[in-house]
Amino acid sequence: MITAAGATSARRAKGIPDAFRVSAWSIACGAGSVIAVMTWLGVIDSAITSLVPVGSMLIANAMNTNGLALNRLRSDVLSHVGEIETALALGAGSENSVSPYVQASFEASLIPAIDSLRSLGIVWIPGLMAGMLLSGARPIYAAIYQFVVLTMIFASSGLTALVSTLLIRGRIFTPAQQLLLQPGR
Amino acid sequence: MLNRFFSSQLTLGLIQAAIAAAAALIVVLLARKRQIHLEKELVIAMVRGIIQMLRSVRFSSCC
Repeated sequence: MITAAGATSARRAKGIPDAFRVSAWSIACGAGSVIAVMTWLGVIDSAITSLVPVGSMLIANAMNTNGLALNRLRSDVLSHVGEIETALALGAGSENSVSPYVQASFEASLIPAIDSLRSLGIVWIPGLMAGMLLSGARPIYAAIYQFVVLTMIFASSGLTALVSTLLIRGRIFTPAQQLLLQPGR
Repeated sequence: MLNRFFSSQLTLGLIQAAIAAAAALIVVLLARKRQIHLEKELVIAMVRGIIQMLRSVRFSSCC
C-alpha cells in the first residue's frame, strides 16, 4: 500500500529528483508510525478486519497530503525562481531560500484534514460511523470513534507532510546549492 | 491494550479520542520548530468536531 501510495503522490513532483523515494519514506514514517503506535496502544484494534481498513484510510490520506505538499512546493518554487536565486546569490543557504514556500506547502497540504475535522457532523456524517451503526455499535461510541479516526488522519498526514517537505527541500538543489527546478526544464 | 483497562465503551472511546488528540498536538508542536503555527486552528477544529458529532448523535437518536 505504501509503495503504491508513494508512486501515486510522486507524480505530483515532476522534475524533482528522488520524488518517489521521498514520498514512500514520508508516507511510511508518517502513516506507518501513527498506525504502529495507535495499534500498540489499542486505539486501532489489531485484528486484520479493523487494522487494514483503518490503516488504509490513514495511508490514503497521507498520500493525498504528500501529493498536495509536493505539488504546491513545486509550483511555488517555479513561480519564485528569481527570488530564490537572488537569495542564494546574496549568501542565503538553500534551506533558508525556500523556507517560506516549504511552510506554505505544509499548511496548504493540511487544509483538507483540518476542514474535515472542523465540519465533522455538521457538513458531513462519515461512512465509518454509518458502518459501525449498521454493525450494531452504540451510536455514541461510533461518533467518538469517527472523531478518533479523523484526528489520526490529521496526525499521520501532518507527520507525512513534515517529513516530505524536510526531505524534498534538499533534493531541489545541487550539492553546490544551485536550484534544479527551473521553468521550462 | 486499552480494552483490558476500560470495560465501558464510552470511557474507552473518550480515552481513544484523548490519545488521538494528543498525537495530533504532538505533530503540530513538531511543526512549530519550523515556524508553522497550526495549534489554535487544530484545537478549534477538534473541539468543534467532537461537539458536532455528539450533537448529531443526539439529534439522530431523538428522531
